[in-house]
Amino acid sequence: MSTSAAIETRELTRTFGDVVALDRMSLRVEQGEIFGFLGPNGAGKSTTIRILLDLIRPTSGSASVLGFDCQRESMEVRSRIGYLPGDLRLYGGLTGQQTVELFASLRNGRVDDAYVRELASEMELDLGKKASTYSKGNRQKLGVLLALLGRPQVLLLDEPTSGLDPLVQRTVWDVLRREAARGATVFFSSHVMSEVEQTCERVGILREGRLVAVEPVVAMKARALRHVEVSFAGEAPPADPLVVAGAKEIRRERATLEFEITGEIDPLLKALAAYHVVDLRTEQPTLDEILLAYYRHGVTA
Amino acid sequence: MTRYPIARKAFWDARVTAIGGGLLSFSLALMYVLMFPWVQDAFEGIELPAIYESFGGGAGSITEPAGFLATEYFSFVPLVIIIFAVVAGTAATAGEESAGTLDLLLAQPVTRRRVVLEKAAGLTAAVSVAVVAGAPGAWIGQLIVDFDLAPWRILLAMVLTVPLVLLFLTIAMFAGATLPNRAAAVVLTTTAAVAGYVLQTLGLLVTQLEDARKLTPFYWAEASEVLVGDINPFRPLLLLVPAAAALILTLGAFERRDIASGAREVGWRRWLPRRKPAQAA
Repeated sequence: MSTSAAIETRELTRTFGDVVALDRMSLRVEQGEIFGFLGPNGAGKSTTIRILLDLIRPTSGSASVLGFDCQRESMEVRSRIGYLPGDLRLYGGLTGQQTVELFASLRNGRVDDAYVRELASEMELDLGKKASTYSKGNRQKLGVLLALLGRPQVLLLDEPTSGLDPLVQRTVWDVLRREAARGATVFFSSHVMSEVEQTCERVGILREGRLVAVEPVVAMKARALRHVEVSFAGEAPPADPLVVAGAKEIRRERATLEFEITGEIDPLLKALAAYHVVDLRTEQPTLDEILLAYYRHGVTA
Repeated sequence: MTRYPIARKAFWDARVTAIGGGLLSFSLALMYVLMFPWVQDAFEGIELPAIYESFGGGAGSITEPAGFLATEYFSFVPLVIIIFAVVAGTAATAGEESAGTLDLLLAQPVTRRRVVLEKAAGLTAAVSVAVVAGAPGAWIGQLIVDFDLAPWRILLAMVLTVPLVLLFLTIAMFAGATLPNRAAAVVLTTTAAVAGYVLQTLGLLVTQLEDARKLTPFYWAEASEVLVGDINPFRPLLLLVPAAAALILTLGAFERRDIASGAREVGWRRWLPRRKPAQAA
C-alpha cells in the first residue's frame, strides 16, 4: 500500500480577479521531508499555504495533506498541521502562557505541558509576559511554539525566520530540525537562501504562480551553470575540442581560457587532459544565483 | 482544558462593552430614579405637550414612575448599548481579520461555525450584562427615593430589551463577515440602528408614520407595556427571530469567504471596477 504524500496538490489554481496567483500547480511532498518553497514576493507561496489550511479556496484543482482533502476534510487536515503565518499577529492582551492555553484548548487540550515548557526554555522565551511586550524575535518564537503545540505531523511555515537576527534564526531552526528528525514534514517558504541550502532536501521554485522547478538542492546546484578558468603552460589551445565537451568559451587570453559549463565538469577535464594545464579554477554558483536565474528566466542559467 | 475558549475570549474582549455599557445603564437608571421626585414636583398639575406623553408609549405621564422611566431611560439607553454592541459585533470577525489574528485562529482544528457561534455566545453575555446592569441602579435609587414601581417590572423591561440589542449585534456580525472592512460594518449597522430609532420616535409624533414604526425593531421592544400593563413577552422575543436569521446568514457568509492574510484595512476601491495600468511609453 502506498503511503499518502504529506502534501499533494493537483492542478491547483487560484485567481484573484484578473490576477492568477497560482497556475495549475502540481506538487508532491513526501512525509518526513524538509521542503523549501521559494519564490519572489507575489509568486504564490503564501496563497498555496493558505489553501492548504482552507483559509482561502482554490479556483480549481485540489490539495490534500496526509491524504485528507484540504477543503472537504479541513478539520482532519488542521488537526495534523502546525502553522506559522508569515505576518504573525498575536493577541496583545494575553500573556505567552495564556496564548498557549487558548490554542491548546482549541486542540482539545491534547498538548504536552512538559514539552511546551521544554520548548519555551530552549528558546529562552518568557511565557509570563504579555504578547504585546514581546520583541519581533520573541513573537516569532511564540509563533513557532504555537505551531508545534500539538506535535503536528506537518509543519507549514511561512517565512519562519523572516526579520530575525541570526542567533534567533539558529534557535528556531534547531527546534524545527529536531521536529523533522522526529518524523514531521516541514514545508516552509523562504527568501533566505542560506537556510534553504543548509536545511532543505528538496526545493520547489514558484514564479508568477507557476511551479518552475522541483528538485533536490544538490541536483539543482550540480546542474547549474558554473564558471571554469584554465591556465595553460603555453599558448591556450583552440577551443573547439573543449566546446565539444560541453563547455562554452567566454574569454580567451594568451595562456588562459574561461568557460561556462552546465552540469558535471568531467567531460571538460577529460578533454583538458591532452594539454599541459598549470592551473584550473572553478566557481560553483551560489543558490542565490541559481534562484535568481529561475526567477528571471524560469530556467537554469 | 478550558471549555468554550473562544466564547470566553470574546466575552473578555468585549469587557469594555460589558463594563462601560453596564456602568452607563447602572448610573443612568440610578440618576433617573433619583431625579424622579424633583420631576414629579416640578410637573405635577402641568399639562405637558403631547410629545412628552408620546415618548413614554403607553406607560403614561412622566409624572408617573413607569412613564418617566419609559420616557427618559428606555427611549434612549438601549440605543447607546446597541452602539456598544455594534462595535463589539464587528470586532468578532472583521476586527480579528483586520488585526491579522484570524488566520492563526482558523488554522487550528476548529470549524468556522464554532468560531462564529462561540463569539456570538460571548458577546451575547457581554451585551446582556450591559443591558441588565440598569436594574440594580434603579433598585438602589428606589431605596433612596419614593419610586413606586415593582422592581421585577424594571428588571423584566430591561431583560426584554436584550433581544433588541442582540438583533443589532447579529446584524453587526453579519456586516462584519460580508463587508470589506470593519469601519464599513460599524457605519452601516449604526446607521440602520439610528434610522430605526428616528423612525420609531417620529412615529410617536407624526400620525402618518405611526404604522411605519412597525418596521423598526424599536417598536417591538417598547418597554412601556412591561412597566405598567399586562406582560406580553412574545412581542420583544419576536426580535430573536431576525436575530437568529442574521446569525445564520453570518455563518453562511463566514463559511464561504476567504480570510485575508495578516493585518488589513481594505478600502472601498476594492469594489470598484479595475482599470488596466497605462502602458509605459
